[in-house]
Amino acid sequence: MADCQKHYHCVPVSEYRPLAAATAALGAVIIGIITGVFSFPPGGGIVAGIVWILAVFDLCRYLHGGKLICHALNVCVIGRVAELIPVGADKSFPDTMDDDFTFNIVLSPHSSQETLSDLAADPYQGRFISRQSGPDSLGLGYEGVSVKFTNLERETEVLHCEVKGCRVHDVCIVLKVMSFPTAVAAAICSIPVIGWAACLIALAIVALITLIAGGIVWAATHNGDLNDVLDPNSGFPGEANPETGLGGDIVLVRGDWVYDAGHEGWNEIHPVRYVQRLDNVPAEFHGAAPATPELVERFKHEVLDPWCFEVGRTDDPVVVEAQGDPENSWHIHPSIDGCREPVIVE
Amino acid sequence: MIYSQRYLREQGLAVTWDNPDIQLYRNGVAVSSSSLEASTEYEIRAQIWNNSTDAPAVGLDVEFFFHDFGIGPAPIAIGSDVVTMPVKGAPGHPAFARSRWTTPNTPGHYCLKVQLNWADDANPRNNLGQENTNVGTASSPAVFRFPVRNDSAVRRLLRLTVDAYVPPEPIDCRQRPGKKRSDREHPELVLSKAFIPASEQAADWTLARLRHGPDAYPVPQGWIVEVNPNALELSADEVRDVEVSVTPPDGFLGRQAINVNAMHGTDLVGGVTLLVDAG
Repeated sequence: MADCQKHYHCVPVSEYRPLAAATAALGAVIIGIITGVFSFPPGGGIVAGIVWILAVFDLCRYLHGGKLICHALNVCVIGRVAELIPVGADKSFPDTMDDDFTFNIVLSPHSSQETLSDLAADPYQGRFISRQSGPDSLGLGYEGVSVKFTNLERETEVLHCEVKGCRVHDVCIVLKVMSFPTAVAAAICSIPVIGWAACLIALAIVALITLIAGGIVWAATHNGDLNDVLDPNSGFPGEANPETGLGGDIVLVRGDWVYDAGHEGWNEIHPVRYVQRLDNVPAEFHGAAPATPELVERFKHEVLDPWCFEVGRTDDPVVVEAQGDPENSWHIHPSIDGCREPVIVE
Repeated sequence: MIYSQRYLREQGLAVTWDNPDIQLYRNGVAVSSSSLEASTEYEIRAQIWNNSTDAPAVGLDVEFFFHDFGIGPAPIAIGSDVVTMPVKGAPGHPAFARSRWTTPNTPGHYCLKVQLNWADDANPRNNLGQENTNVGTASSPAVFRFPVRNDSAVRRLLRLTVDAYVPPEPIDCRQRPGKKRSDREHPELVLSKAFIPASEQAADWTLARLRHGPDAYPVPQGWIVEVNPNALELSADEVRDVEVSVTPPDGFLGRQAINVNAMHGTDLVGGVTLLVDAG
């Protein structure tokens, strides 16, 4: 079980910087070509190489979480699985570099028929799919995510959740490492007369090595898998009926609540750090009918608060420390393989 | 999880029916389940453990049952409780489930069962605990009589075995040898056929079998335990009485536990812990 989630971290709104890699890379190429063809400006190849390195590092910064604006870290959300999206099911190359396992949930206890304003009015979980002031202040748009159940007239607003794969991280390592020989090859363009030919050959060799290394890493990486973050005791959750929007297992999701500027603009849980299927949630909370304010209130008291409190305690330093104590080192039963700490007499 | 005799026996361990996780209280004072007063209200308290450091269980359903004294009679519902089971190491762990129980009109002994119901449990086999003890005074000998029932739908041959297992004191944490060393030093106790759930594969089962194996707890020298009959062929739902007489060695003072286990092949069907007082 790989922990790819650890490579991805959102940024505060004040530290958000849009992706500059494409512009920088284009600049590097243009400078490189001009330098190679005209042998001018002097040292232009070196500049192109440095800009190229900056472009690669900026791209990787962005993909590792620079595009994610933090709303809150390690939040707890409970919802009904609307759809499960296997790795690559909704993407084509080169977007398949993003090998996340994703799923969408309808916030509990709401039904698939409720409108965005109905869901946003939920005082406890509605915020997760509502426009937030941070991205707004940067002028970033908000479209939200919805799922179309074929028998329902309008689309259902959902919260998008991403279980990270390692491909972005692994490919970025290759790109970063190979950006340095690329920069050296670009610098060769500054050599008068023969520079363009020499740097073209050098760049072709570096590009070939990058392609081979990148291809191997691309294929060998660990793709996002719900089992990476799923409570191992839980069964794999099932999704709602694609026609009616009914059904779907209720899951508790923990992870960072972010605005993902890499899409059209929406909030999501990214990365998801923990998922637990909740099998004993009473049927009235399964979203068969639109939720009344009373039902939302009861859901908070009977399901949301107790579950999120208990799961949240796994982060409590006191609990984490206690779990490492010898008295909690039993696996079978404290009476069978429990141990006692020695009494120290001073 | 709860101390679960059937599961532990499946893994090659001896068991006690004096369940460390089930305790009776009367007016807040702990009492033995071996001799209960008729038509009296008791509180049954079950201690429940979570082996997970990540997954709590909110709304865990706990059911309480009792049987007339014996091995295998049909259970009668007492009540149920719903508890929140925090993760291992968190405040509130272990959790306690409670149920009030007014004993039947007939005085004597009853066997208690506690069943945990949780759908996505990593190991559903250790969710049934049983408390079944009886105290007798050895007036050369101490004689116990109890019915044994075949609760199966088919005819079965039940064999009654005895041992003197009492859970030993926990080992000093510093003296635990480590799983690999245990396996290397006691290869005969590594049971390749035993099914161990993923949640318990890190456990040192070999050390557990060394410290809690039935072979380590024979009836002590000088004690005479006679089980009559020591094997019963019972048709479905058939009940037959068994008599166990326990004679302590001369001069013995104190209490000795004798476990009587009803086995069908290698499966533990039920049992009782007889506590013999002498002196």
